[in-house]
Amino acid sequence: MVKSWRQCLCLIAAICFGGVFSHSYRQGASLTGCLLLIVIIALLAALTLPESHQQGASGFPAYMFLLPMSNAEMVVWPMLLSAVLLAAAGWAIALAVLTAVASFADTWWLAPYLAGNVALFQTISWLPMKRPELRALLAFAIVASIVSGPIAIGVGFLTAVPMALSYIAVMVLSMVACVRGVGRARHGLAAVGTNDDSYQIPDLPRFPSRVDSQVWLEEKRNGLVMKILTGMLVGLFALVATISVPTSGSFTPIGGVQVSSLALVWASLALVLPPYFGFGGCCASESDNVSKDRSLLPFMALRPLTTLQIVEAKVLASTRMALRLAVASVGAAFAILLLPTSTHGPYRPTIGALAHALTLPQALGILVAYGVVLAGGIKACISGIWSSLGRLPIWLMYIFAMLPLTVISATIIGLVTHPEKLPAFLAFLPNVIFIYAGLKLAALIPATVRLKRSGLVPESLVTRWFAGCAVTGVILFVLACWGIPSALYGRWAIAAQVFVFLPLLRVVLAPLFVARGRHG
Amino acid sequence: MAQQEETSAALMMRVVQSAGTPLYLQLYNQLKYLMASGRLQPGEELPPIRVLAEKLVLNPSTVARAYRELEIERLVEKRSTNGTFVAEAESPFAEAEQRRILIDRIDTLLVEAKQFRFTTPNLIALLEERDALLREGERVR
Amino acid sequence: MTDILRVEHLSRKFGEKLALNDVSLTLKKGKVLGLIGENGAGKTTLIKHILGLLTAQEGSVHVFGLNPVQDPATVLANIGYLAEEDGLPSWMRVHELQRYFQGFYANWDQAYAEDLREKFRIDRRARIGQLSKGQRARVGLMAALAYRPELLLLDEPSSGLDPIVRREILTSIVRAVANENRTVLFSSHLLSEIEMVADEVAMIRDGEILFCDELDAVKQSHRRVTLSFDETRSAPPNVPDAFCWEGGGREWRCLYSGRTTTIDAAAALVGARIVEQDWLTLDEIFLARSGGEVSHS
Repeated sequence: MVKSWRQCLCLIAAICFGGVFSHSYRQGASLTGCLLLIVIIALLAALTLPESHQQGASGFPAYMFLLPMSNAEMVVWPMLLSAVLLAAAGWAIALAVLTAVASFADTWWLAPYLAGNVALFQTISWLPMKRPELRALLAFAIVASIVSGPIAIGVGFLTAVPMALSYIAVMVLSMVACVRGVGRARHGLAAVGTNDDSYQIPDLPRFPSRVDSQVWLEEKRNGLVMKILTGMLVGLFALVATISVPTSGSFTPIGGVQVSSLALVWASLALVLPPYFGFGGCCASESDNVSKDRSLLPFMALRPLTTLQIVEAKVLASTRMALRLAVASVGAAFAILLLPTSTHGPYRPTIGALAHALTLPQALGILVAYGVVLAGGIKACISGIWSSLGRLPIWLMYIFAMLPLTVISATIIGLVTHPEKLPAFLAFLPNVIFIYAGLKLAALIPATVRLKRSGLVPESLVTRWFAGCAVTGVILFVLACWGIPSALYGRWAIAAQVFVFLPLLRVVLAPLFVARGRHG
Repeated sequence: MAQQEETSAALMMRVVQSAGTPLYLQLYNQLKYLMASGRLQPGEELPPIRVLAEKLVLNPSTVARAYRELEIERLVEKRSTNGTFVAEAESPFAEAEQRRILIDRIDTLLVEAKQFRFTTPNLIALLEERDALLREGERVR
Repeated sequence: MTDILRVEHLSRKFGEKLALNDVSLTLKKGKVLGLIGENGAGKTTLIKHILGLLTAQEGSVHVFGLNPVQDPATVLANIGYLAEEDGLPSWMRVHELQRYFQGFYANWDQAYAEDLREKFRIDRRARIGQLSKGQRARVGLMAALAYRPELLLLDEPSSGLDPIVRREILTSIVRAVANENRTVLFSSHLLSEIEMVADEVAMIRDGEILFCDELDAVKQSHRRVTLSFDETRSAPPNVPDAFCWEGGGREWRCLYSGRTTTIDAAAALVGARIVEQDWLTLDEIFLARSGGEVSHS
């Protein structure tokens, strides 16, 4: 499995590089090429989809099959309700976030866009699939749709009206498909079940230690899904960047040099993925992660491991995963920065401009900061989609997956349509991070107090973890001040501290939360 | 394994839970019956506690208790090894038990004979006739 | 004989609800303790405390002399656990489960595990989620037995299973106790099973232990007694420790928990003689004890 995943990533990387050096981007975005690449990546992703998620059964809640309703009533009402409610909520939130850079008129299309995507989510989790790989393909199509919708508007490929109409059409089609598919599942017409006869038991050695055993479980549970999702997204970002960066005219002055802001955005997005997926996917350090573990928690809690060993296994698995993902992401980011832009003269790669702007300590500082983020990790907000596809209530799926994507997409579209607001946005962003960090820390306080009171973890341990955490924070602060001295990054440095510091806090608190989940 | 074959009669026992009678008592009664009826011969080894417990899916201590009760009445004896054996000597208890069983049967027989209007001398004649036939059959075999 | 399990004055509240109230219990090595009680009486809560999945709010729990919350690694390494809800990850394959467990338990006996698996006729390649309920219970049983744990904890293991699987579970209990001198605690609502394999019985109701004694003693002290009176009476007599009266006229029948000599004396005192005495099954004792007071009033 791991091997095929690597092969897949190599192929994606090769395709990206091929894209970079092909001529197509110079003539603007080629829709055919773009679609072809999407299909190739989706196929690769589908081939490497972890076995456990190749489930063909419908994810529609089975208890509803018994309600005295026709298939159409049973399916359409929940779909309509979620589409209307969630689209309205998402749009309102996006508007609230974007008041600084966008207006009502800029974002009205978000409502049908969100409703269409919610319907697509429901469709992939509710339709019974004869070939479970199809679900992966469709999932990829949704991710592509979520990302490319705002871009299409941003680059002027589509205007708001046809876009809204197409998403409404998507919604209607989804409903028709769901009524048919769920109806088949309801009456046992859908062929389910995978043929296991060809499975061969691999000859694997005994695990050397208990922790190794547990790491295996963690990786098996979270690892592949995360890797594949990241692989898909990295590939997608690289793909979209290949098309959009060379033709985009938006630049940011850094250290007196014009740098393609789109290339920077795509490269950072690719780089953000490993800590998000690699680390956050595994490290059940917070109550919501514990609740995600709940189905398996009794099973894991019953293994003869100390609570610290459980966390150790989680951290080990996460770190391994994050590092593996980083190889792909750094490769993709490097490829994106290599993309030529038309600043000075016909075409120049962004990385060349950056080389002028950054001094060695700065570059080192950024590298160290990224390494720390990678090691520390940030929670995977999207992890919920895959690990519980078809089992999670739709509103949870929405919160985990759609909302962050909505905000990110809306932000991107806002910035692309109003590039002059980019500096204002950058100046504003640290405040958002501060607020986020503050909320997170505040939420941790009652939990910590409760855990201390329950006496599950020795107090000396808590003190030691906190002390270690504080020292790490100080070291990071010094490193960042030394590494990132420029005026632009000045305010960012402190925000980055908080951002990097936070995930570490989660790791610090992980034993406490695992202990609470385990010992009631 | 050889032991099990020798004491197959003991392994044929059944216990029922619906009766309310303690299980050790059920075992005790059945073993006593098996000994009295000769299906367990004097000197024969009883199955080891563990084997019987597993066969009947009973707690070993239940089986042990049944054996202990029999041992107290000297119907079985423990030998230097772990084995438990049916007592060699005809114990007065065994004889009394045998009598009790026979009396039960005879009573039933008499009641039925009365219903069929058989007189007791007729019945005795029939008994002797059957006995002779059985002996014949044994010799032939 | 050492105490494998010692629970002392354990109390637990979930919000306002008292789930366990001053529960004390000991279990000696080599014994089988059957835990009986209605659904929601607190059996699972008690077992979770023993596993360290719940922390004692009041009182203490010691397994092998250790606190299962403070020292989960040692305690859990010597406990084999099988629950009604098997909780095994459905995506795991049987051979993967074996390998995963092997990493944890130093005395995992792969030959024994394979032996059990073959006896249970389970495909090594099968995914746990695709097995039937009975087969999953067998896999759970295999996983719980293959490292020959000191203490076997079975929480309603036979609930919803067919007689064949139930018998396999019981046989495993007997074998573990008889051949390996292991200790077993199991809860079941099938009291006939408990009656077959338990040494001791503890009955739990509304979080309290009603009685905890050797099975024989429990059986000895509960009887159905029929009293005959010289004249007819319209109400049952007042005899201490007797409940669930039924009958009328000259014959009254009751369930009685106490010594034989006491009921003799009590019967004489109310001017009756005992015409019949019967053993009770554990089921009847359970019913009597859980509903006794209600019908008495």
